[in-house]
Amino acid sequence: MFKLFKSYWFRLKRFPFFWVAIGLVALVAIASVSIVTTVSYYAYTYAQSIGEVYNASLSLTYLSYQFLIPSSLVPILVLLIIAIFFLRDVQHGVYRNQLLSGFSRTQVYLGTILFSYFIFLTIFAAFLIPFYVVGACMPRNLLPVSILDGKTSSLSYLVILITDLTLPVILDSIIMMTQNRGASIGIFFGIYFLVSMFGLITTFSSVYGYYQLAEFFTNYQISKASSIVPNFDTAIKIELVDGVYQSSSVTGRTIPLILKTVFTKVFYMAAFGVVGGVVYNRRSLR
Amino acid sequence: MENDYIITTDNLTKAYNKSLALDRVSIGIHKGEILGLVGKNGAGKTTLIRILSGIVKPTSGTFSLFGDKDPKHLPSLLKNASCMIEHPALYDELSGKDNLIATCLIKGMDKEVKSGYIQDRLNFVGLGALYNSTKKVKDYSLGMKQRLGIAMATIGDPKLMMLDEPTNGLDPQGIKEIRDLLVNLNKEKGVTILISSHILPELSKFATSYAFIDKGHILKSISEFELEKEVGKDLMIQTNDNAKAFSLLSSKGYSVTNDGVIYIKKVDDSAAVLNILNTNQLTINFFKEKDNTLEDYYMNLLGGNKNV
Repeated sequence: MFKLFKSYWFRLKRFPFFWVAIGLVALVAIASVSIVTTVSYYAYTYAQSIGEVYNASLSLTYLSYQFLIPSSLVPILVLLIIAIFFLRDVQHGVYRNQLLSGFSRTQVYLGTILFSYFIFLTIFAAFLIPFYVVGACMPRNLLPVSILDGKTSSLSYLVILITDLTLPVILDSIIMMTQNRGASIGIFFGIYFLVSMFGLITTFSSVYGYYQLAEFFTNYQISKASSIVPNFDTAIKIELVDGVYQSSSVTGRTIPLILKTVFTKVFYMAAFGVVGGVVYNRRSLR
Repeated sequence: MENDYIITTDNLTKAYNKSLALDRVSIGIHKGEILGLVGKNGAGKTTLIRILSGIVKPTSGTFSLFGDKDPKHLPSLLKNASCMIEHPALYDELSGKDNLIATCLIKGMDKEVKSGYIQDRLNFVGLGALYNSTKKVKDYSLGMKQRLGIAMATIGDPKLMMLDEPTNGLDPQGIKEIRDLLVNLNKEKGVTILISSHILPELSKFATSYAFIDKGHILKSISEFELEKEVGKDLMIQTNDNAKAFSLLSSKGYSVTNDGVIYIKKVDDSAAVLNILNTNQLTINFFKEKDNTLEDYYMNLLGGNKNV
């Protein structure tokens, strides 16, 4: 497997979009942390100078947003890199080089997924490192301290990390199953669309507490991350009363976010990973 | 002899939906052989090579590589083989040199990357000048891609090469160079080669045995020597008495036609024919020998069907 990785890395190093993506996320991280910290600092200083208590711009909610919103660029770029990098291999039939070099199909399949994780972690690191380093250098070291000390945020980052790791597995498994560029992209976005629709339907038609699918979406993660009580959800409850559907808004405690997320994401990863592996092992290749 | 088979197939069958791409194919390739796989488009040549290289799974039947039939061992067995199917599987966005390096890395040949191995491989296929070039493979001509594909196929000194139409897109000089390369590999390193080609006159210059395939069936497997014996040559003769010559040769069992010129098919020994005519006091006014080719043999096998 190490040999496979060496070869992938050799090629990735020569893939210009990879370096463009790294530069872009680093730039976005530096820009966002610089702007937010500077604005927050001056707002805080101004509030103090006029004798007012002004905490809005320094709240965990506000600062978490400043991390989460730009960081959502990472999975988009990772998916683009994976799509271009591996779909090109499929299109040119170069996967057969790996099979003819003594790797089993299972090894090639797992290698693709693990290397996708490597791409994700590299791009994520390219965002995270400048974000914290530059943040630490800014006035009063506001942003890193706020985020690291936050009670909700560290959990939220884990949730996002798991979510972001799920998407490459889904895309990889579709690529390896279909062995076709158009079909892979179509099916991936088709599934994403269906999950979105299903998420919306289940959100609006269930009693509170069943938001598993909604967790795929950044808006939901942000709302959870920034919530003071993250295990509370609001949903529309629809009931059939005397032959008429009636809806009402209900609020209640949900299953802890981390548990729901880990279960849902691990389930998706395992389901797509296993199905993709089985199909890839059995199918004829280009 | 049984043990020196590099490839054997036993009733290998591949069905796509309801059509059979391969139908109970059983062939054997001996160590050190160059087997030419001959057939028209869609005959099943590529499917056979794809199955043997593990890219396509057979519907039924079995095959062995290096004497091992266990499908679980196929990945490790393929380490000793190389393959080029239809078109070389190249990384278009990389240079030729980088393609070879990537292949070396997959095969765990890191040391070779740093030595002169890559330059050597490029020289081997006549692309040595591209060693320092950054030109990407997507900008190569078809012939250059074919050569690079062959260079990639030789990495790691494989004991078996399976090549599907390796001379596609090459000019006559390129075809000759590739042929010389393959003959060298076969003679000097004992590499067994399974090669499919449409260019039958070219194939006949270096293949040591042939398998003729049509509609998924192996029509015939034959060695170079057996083929030479079977194809023989045709003779065209004009004598002072063609009618007499015709009846004489017919009575001796030759396949003869008389159309102003006596035409004798599949003659093993021309001297014997001339001797018959001389001893019967026939004067030969015109004599011409025509060697039968692999193409003629193949056409006869197909019953005169063209489109090879």
